[in-house]
Amino acid sequence: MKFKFLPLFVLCTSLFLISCSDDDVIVDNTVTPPSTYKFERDGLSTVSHGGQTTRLKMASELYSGMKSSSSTKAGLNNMFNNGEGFSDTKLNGTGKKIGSKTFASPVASATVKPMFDAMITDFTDNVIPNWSTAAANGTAGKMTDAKRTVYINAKGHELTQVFTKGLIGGMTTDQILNGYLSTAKLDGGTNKADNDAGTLVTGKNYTNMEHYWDEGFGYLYGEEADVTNPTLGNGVLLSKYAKKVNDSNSPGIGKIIYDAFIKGRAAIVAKNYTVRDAQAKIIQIHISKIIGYKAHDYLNDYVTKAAAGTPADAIHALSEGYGFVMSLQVTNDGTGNPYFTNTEANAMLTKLDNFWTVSSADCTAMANEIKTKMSL
Amino acid sequence: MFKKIFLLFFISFILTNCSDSGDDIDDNKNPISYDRSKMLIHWADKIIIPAHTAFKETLTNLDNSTTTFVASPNQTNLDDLRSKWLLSYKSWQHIEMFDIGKAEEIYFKSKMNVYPIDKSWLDNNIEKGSYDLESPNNYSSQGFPALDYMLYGIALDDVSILNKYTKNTNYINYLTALVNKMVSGTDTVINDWTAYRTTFINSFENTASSSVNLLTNDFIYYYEKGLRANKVGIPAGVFSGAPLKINVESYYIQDVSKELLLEAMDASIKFYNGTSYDGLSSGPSLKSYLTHLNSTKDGSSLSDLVTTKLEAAKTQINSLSNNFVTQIESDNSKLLITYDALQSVVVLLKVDMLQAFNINVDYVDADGD
Repeated sequence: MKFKFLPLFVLCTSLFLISCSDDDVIVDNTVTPPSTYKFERDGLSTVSHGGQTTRLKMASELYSGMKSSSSTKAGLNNMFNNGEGFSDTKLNGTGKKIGSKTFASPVASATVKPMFDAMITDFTDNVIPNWSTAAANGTAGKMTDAKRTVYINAKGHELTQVFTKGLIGGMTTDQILNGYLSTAKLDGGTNKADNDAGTLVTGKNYTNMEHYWDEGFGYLYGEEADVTNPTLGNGVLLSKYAKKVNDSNSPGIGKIIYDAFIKGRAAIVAKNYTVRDAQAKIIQIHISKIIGYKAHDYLNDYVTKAAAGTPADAIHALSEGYGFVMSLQVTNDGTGNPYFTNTEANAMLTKLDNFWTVSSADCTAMANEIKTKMSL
Repeated sequence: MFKKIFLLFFISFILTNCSDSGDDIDDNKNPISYDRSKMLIHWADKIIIPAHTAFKETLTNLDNSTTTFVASPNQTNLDDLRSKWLLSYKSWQHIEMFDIGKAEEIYFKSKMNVYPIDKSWLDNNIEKGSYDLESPNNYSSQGFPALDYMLYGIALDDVSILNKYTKNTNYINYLTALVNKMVSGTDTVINDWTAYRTTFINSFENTASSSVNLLTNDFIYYYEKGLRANKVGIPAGVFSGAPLKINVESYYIQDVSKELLLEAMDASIKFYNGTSYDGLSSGPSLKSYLTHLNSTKDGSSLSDLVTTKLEAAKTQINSLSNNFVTQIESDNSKLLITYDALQSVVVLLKVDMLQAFNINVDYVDADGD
């Protein structure tokens, strides 16, 4: 009799702990995730992200195209905006395009994508014709130092780097964080009701919500040989830099992101949207940090390399940094807001604009600002 | 006994302690507690029906001027017809969003304002002299955009345009058919509102097919697609590799594109605020509904935030050239910045506002993956 209410008391106490824990760390054991990103229904996989894999491969060809003197404006534009003209013919005729997924989420600024079109024009109109000209302030051309040779525009930008690093934010990061993992997307239309009822997309083995999550997953892991054992470091976009950050700045970040993708996906299967959104938040914050680390590191690299008397190597680093700074505006701090707005990113890009006259002190200051604001 | 009391106390402590952790909506202000019925009556009687009545007046004037013009196709009558067309087109901007009831059933907006026109199809209609304006194939060959072409685009200058009408009755006939079709469609919609009003105002519950949910969705859909995408985003090239000048609304006269957009923006702002069509009064609205719920976003009032962003978008529009074709040519980035400003409201309406109302989005973005 004395202990009649003890079990209830214990239950209440644990309820109290669960329901009132800090908003940022939602403790919930109701979703037991599998150990790998493997999800099946009736013995068949429900995971599909072929469109993302296609676009990641397209990005690799565009990266090569943006540094080849045999590229043409029409050819690069056809690849970027029409999704056609790739040497890997499996990429053609898919209907997938990078252009329409460049800074294209509901929160991205529409002013950014035209910068990519302009880079294609600048590269083919100015850099390629000056392939054998010595680059100078105001003149596109070639620059060589002891470390490397770069082909740059009149402002010193190595466009293949700006373009590709810009896509790391503009396509992969923006699509994952602000597109597929946003509640607006995941819960769009009748997704929630359909997922609750187990209503599958016509002709498919997945619900819309499951598929959206997988598509987000695909922008990071779409080029893995085996998504149940990801290595990172694939292709030219986010995966490549996730590995670099995991191997240096932030050991373990890769596992944090992967585990969150698994748990979030398991939460969708379990119809537990609170857990799902908590995992989305973890992914948003940590992928944002990858962008932050690289923007920070390349700005500092520029300063070091410029001081070391290797201007081509320095410009190469700054071109990467410029693309990552551009990418900062589509980071997501877990509340739907970027760490740096479009206006703030543009202000930094304006300071960096001409690599021939850029101030090392400005670069250092920006690197520090990124580090502080993103708690790197 | 003491332990039981302690336990009850403890449980109530848990409940009260956790109750304020909900971030946006006060628990005792359930979305349905707002008087949606009053809002529907205000929408119907002070906004929708008066806007349709006013539109009908402009269309009657357009119809009369068409009659005068086809009887004597001269410069004076052409100028008059053009001015009536513009007045009516501006008035149309106030009702395009009400794609509900009969309007939705007869594809009213598809027959009134699909652009760009299909020029070769339209030319072919004129040449053949026979066409079925009910057919979806002809949505892009009728309505205000088709009149834009008929009044400004069929030849290079006014003398040549008038020549078309004086020398070929097919032009007269097609112009007349277009206006007649617009009048009959409008009559159908307006007449139906007489009966539909009762159905409309009584459907205030929160279901996917209730008037509040449908019209709120219609409004957001209009703002997102009809206004943001059609008038700004698509011509500015947001969804394509390059800008698409031909997609500018009123492409053949061009220099009223901003005027039309501003009118649409005003209509949207008025609807959100619950301002009556005549501008003289206001009533229950999406805005006051949000205010009632004390909805917040990042710590500030959501209802005010929407207003701020709508006004900011309007300011951005005001900075544009009157002619969006020349705006695209001279500095397309200004249109893209305008698009951003318009888009920032979409997120607030479609995600934050609908969450506060507990209304589901009833349309899906066709962004294809």
